[in-house]
Amino acid sequence: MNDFKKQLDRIDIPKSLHKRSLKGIKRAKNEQQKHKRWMPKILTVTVTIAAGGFIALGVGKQDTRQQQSSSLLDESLSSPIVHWCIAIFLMIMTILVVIIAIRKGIDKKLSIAMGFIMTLLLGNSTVYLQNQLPKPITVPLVQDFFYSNENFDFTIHYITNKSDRRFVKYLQADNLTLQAKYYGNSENKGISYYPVDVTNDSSHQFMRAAYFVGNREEIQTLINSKEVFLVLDDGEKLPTLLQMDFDHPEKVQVDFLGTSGGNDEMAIFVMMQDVVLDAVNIPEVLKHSVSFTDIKVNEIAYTEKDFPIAVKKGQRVIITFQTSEAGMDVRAKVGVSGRDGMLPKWINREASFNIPKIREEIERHD
Amino acid sequence: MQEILVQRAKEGDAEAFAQLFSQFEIDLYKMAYVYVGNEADALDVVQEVAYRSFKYIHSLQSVTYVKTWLMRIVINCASDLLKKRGQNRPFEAELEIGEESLEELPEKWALEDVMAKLTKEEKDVILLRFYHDYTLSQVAQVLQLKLGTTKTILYRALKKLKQALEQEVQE
Repeated sequence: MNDFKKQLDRIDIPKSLHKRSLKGIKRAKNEQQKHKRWMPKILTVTVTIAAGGFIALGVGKQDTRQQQSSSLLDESLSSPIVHWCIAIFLMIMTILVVIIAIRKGIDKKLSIAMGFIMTLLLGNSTVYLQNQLPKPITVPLVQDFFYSNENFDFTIHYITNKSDRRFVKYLQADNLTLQAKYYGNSENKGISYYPVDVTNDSSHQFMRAAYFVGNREEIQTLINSKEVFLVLDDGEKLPTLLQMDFDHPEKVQVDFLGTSGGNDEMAIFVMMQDVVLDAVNIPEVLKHSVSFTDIKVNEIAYTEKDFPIAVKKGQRVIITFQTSEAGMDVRAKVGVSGRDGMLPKWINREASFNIPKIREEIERHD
Repeated sequence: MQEILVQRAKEGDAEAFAQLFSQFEIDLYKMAYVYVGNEADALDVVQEVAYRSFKYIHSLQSVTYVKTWLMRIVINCASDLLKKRGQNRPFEAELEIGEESLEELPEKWALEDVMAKLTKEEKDVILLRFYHDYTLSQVAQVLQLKLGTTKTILYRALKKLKQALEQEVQE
């Protein structure tokens, strides 16, 4: 074995050996520098295209003007999975580019930091885009008016993205156009914070109010119209669900000594005549969110199953209704009635700022 | 010292790597020479080894294995060169392993016989075992072979060298 080593030791070492080694090292160094010049650019371009492509996918849809309200909501909230699939794909691409950059010799910490920041940006963009509405949506309104009034006013709420500075200019139904009026500062254009006077910082949208005043003929036109739109200042039309009605004089109210006390859900009466009450009156549109609890006559409670019930003059009557969260504004009358008239309870409730709830409501009525 | 040089080389310091490489270049040259058989090709191999080892320095796990790592690169570069020149001898079928123990095999070999008669795999084992004084286990590890296979290759190589020596004696 030593002889083998000795023979190997006798091999002539050329003088150019070290030079050739240096040549090989230099070649590798030059390639390294080339990669270092290019890799940050490739990284930047890849991630910019990734982010830009994602944003383009998110905002590039063209909306048609006249659509069913429910289909608008379908567009706005139906594709979080798609958004996240694209985002995850782009994040994986970013990670792959970072790994390649590190293998090519780019500073490890810098590459990882850039990759991490870009991944966070992609995730943030996804969350932001996923929560953007492609089009503002209007909150359904159920409203009853006293027929005896001369003028009738009502408010329609609509929801826009926080970045959307458009406002409602007028309401349109058949041949009717009602200009929107605004509370307070006209520059505010009806932007209101919801819940009232509280800024919802975590929300991606604002709820806004458009206020209208109409006469009896105009309201009757609205009642009869099949399609009603809120029209924005740029001309875009938002389909609107309105359920309006007049509280007609033929629906005579039972004579009572007004209400003393009561709250959002109950009304208290002292009867001025004997009546028989045999029905609960809740408009069809409210039946899923308003329910009759009971009627107490001198503290004895009766449910709808006990109807008809006789109530005597002088007796104290309390009617109680229960309301649940719903995606619509309600200013309507419910009550308990008999042949002689109705004991009314006005429900005044604003929709919760919950887009899925509002969507549910619109789909229900579509 | 080597650790510092490796660290700096990983950060892209070519001079540090040149200093590190120079500690091994003669041994690497001699190994390359055994494979390719001539000075020009051996220099090409060493240059290629220098290029590849600096390019992929970040793949070196630990400074302890620098020499082993470089030797593996030499083996690969030499193999690539031989393939390019169509000089790679095909892997031979395994010879029967006789009853002779390794100790009975010749101690004197001609370098020319090693270069001319052995396959690349056999040269790998012979060089690592008898020039770099690796144990068989270490040889197996460097070449990523099973220990049994390494023994077989070694045995075959030594048998060939013995036969070559006997032929020379007869002549």
